[in-house]
Amino acid sequence: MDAPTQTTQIIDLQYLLDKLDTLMTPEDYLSQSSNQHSTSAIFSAFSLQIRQIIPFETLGFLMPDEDRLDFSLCSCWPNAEVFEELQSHVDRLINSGNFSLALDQNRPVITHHESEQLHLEVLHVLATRSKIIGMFIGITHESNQKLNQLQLKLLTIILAHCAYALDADALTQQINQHKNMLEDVVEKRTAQLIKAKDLAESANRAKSEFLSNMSHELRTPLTSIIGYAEQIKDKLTQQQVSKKNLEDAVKQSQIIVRNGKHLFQIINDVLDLSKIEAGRLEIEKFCFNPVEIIEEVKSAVSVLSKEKGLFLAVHYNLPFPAEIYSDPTRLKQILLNLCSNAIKFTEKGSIQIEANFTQQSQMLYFNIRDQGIGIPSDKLDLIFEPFQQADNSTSRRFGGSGLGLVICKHLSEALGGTISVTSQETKGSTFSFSIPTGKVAYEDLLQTQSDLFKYHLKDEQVNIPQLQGKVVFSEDWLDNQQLISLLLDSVGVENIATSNGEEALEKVLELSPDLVLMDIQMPIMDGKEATQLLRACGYAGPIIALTANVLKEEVDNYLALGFDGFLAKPISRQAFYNTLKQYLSENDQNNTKKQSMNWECSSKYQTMKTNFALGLEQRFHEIQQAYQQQDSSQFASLIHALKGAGGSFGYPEVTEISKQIEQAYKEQQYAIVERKLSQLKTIVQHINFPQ
Amino acid sequence: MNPTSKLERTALVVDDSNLLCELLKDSLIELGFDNVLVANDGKQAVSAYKRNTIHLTFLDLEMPKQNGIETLKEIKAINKDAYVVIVSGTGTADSVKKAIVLGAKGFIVKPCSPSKIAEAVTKFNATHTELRFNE
Repeated sequence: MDAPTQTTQIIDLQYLLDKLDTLMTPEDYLSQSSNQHSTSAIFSAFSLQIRQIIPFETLGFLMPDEDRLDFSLCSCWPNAEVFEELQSHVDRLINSGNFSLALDQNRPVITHHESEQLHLEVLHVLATRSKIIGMFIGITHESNQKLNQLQLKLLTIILAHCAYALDADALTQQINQHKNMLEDVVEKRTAQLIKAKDLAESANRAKSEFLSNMSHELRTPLTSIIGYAEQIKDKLTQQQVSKKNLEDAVKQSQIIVRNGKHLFQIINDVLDLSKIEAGRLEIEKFCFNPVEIIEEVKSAVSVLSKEKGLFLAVHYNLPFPAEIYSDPTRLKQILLNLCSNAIKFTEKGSIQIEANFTQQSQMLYFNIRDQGIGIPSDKLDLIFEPFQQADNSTSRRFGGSGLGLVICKHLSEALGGTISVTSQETKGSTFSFSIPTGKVAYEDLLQTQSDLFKYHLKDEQVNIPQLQGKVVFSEDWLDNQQLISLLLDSVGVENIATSNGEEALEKVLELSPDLVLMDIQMPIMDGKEATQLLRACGYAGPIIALTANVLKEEVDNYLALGFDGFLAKPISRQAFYNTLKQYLSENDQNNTKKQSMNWECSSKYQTMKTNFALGLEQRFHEIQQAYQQQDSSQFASLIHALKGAGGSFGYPEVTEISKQIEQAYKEQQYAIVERKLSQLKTIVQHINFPQ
Repeated sequence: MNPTSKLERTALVVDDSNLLCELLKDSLIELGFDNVLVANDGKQAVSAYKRNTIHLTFLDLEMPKQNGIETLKEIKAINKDAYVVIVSGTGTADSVKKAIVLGAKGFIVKPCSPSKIAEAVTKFNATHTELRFNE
C-alpha cells in the first residue's frame, strides 16, 4: 500500500526540485528593466518559466486599461496570430463570470471548454499584496495535460513574482519619468540663468565702459583747469609781471572758466541721469512765455556758434503762443542740449531752430537742424539709450558726457511729448521733439513778427552794481570764500568771512549786518542750524542760503527754517549781483537805510553820545586810579563796563582797546596793560578834542 | 511808580554796568516803553520780577554774584512765558544755544547799538500787539 504512494511522492519531489531550479534561473528581464519595452520583456521571461512548468499551447497577459474598467490583451504567445483566438476565450470567460471570479482569488481558475477538442482554460490573477496588476490566461488540451496541484502552486508563485516585477517596473518608470522631468526643469532654469548672467555681464560691461569714459571726460577739463591755473600762478608770481604775461593770463583764465563750465555740465548731466534712473525726475508745470525761453537758449548758444563761425537762426511759424503750460526749466534743458549738440557736431554751415505750434493738437513742435557729421542709420536707434553711444570715440572727439540725448528723451517724455531724429551721414541731422502746451486760447497767439520781437532779449551784459552795507558770509571752503569776498569787494560792500555756522552766528550777532550769505554744508555747525539760532536770537535781517542743492523741496525747507532766499552754487555772477541788489541799497542813496537808523540820528541819542564822550575823561581817571591802587575788582569792573559801552555809543575803538586791556590784565601782562592804558588816554583825548 | 496797567508797557534792564543800563533805559523809553526798571545784578532782577508785571527784560549774561543764565532760569521759573532778551559780550554758540534752550526770545551781542535794541523791540512788538504804543 505504501510503496506506490511513496514512489509517487518521490517522483513529485524530483519534479518539484527540477521546477524550482527553473524558477531560480537568472531573469533576463531584470537587466532590461530600464528599457522602454521592459513590460514585454517581463512577459516573455515569465511566459518561458510558465511553459517549463505547464506546456500551454497558447498563453497571454491582460492589463487593465487606463480607466481600469476593462482588460485588454497586451502580450500573446507563441505569436501575435493567436490574439483573436485568445480574445474569444477571454470574452467567453468574462461572460461566464469566471474572469471576475479569478480576479477575486489568488489561485488558478480552470474551465473546461469543448469546441473541436476539449480545452482547459487557466485564468490566474496578477496581483501584489496591495493591488491587481493584470490577468494571465493559458490554454491547453486536456488530453496532453494533467495539471496537478504542484504545477498550479508553482504557477501561482511565478505569477506573484511576475506581478511584483511589473509593479517594480512601473515604479521604476515613474521614477525615470520624474527624473527626466526634473532634468528638463533644471536644464530650462540653467538656460534662464545663463541668459540672465549674460545680460548682467553685458550691462556691467556697458557701465564699466561708460565709467571709464566718464572719468576720462571728467579728467580732461580738470587737467586743463589745473594746468592753466598753475601757469597763471607762475606768471603772476614772477618778480616783474610783463604786459604780455598779463594778456596770457587773461586768455588762460578764459580757458579755465570754459573748462570749469564744461565740467560742471558733465556733472549735472550725470546727476540728472541718475535722478531719472532712480525715478526721481521732478517736473514743475506752470504758465510761461515759450518765446522767452527760446530766445534765452538762443543767446546762450550763440556764444558757442559765433566761436565756431556758424550761423544760428530761430524761425517761428506764426501764429505762436505767448503763453503755454509746461515746465520752462525742462524745456530750456532740452533745447540747450539739442542746440549745443548741433553746434558741437557741425564744423561749418548753419544751425536752424524751427518752432511750430498747431492749434488742433495743442502741441509745440521743435526741429533742430544741423549740417554736421550725421549719424549712421544703424546707430540711430542707439543714441537715445543710456550708456550706448553711437560710437564711444565720439565723445572723445567732441567732448560731452554722451548723456544729453538720453536726458532729452526722458525729459520730453516726462513733459508728455516725444523725440525723434532723422539723419544723413556727412549731411547733417534733424532732431525733432514735441511738448503739449495745455489749452492755448486764440487771443494768446502771437500773430506777427513784431509781436514776437517784444520778447526778444538783448544780449545780457553783466553789470556790476555799486552798493553799500555790511555783509557777513560763511563758506568753509577757502577758495570759494576768497571768490565770494572778491565779488562782494567788487560791489563795494564791507564784508566779513566766516568758515562755519558758529563763527557766522557770533559775527552776525555782534555786527548785525545788512545781509547774511550762509553756506548750508559746513563743519562744526551747518548753515541751517546757524540760521535757526539767528532767528531765535532775533536777527531780522535777510539770510540767503548758498547751496548746490536747489531741489524744490529743499528750497521750501530753507524758507521754512528762516532763510529769505537762496543762491545756487556754483555762483553765477549775475544771480549773485541781482540778489545783492535786492537786499542792499545803492551807493548813491544814503537815506534808504533801516528805520532803526532814525533813533541813531535822533537828538536824544546824540545827546547821550555827547554825554558819554564828555564823561570819558572822568571814567579814564577812575580806571587809572583803580589800577594804581591795585584795586583789581574795581579795575576789572570799570574796564568791563567801558568795553560794553564804547561801541554802543558809537566808539568801537574804545571797546576794542578796553577788550585788549581786560585780556592783558587777566593774563597779568602789566606792561601791556600800561601801554594800552596810555593808548586809551590818547583815544579819549582825541574823542573830546579832535585833531 | 504806578502799578502797571494793561495798556502800559514795562521793561526791566539788568546789567552790572550802570552806563549800559542807562543807555538801554533811554533807548527803551524812546522806543515807547512806559516804565523801565533797572537792576544791577541777578538777585535784584529776580526780586524786581517778583514784585512787578514785566513785559520785556534785557538781561546781561556776564554779571558778578549771579550770572545771566542762572537769572534766566529763575525768571522763567516765576513766569514761563517771560520775554527775555539776552545781552552778552560774546555770542559763542555755546551760550546762545544755552539761552535759547532756556527760552530766551532774543540774543544781543555787545556793543548793543541802538539799532540792535530797536530790532529786538520790533520783534517783541510783533508778538505783543495787545500792548499799545504810548507815542
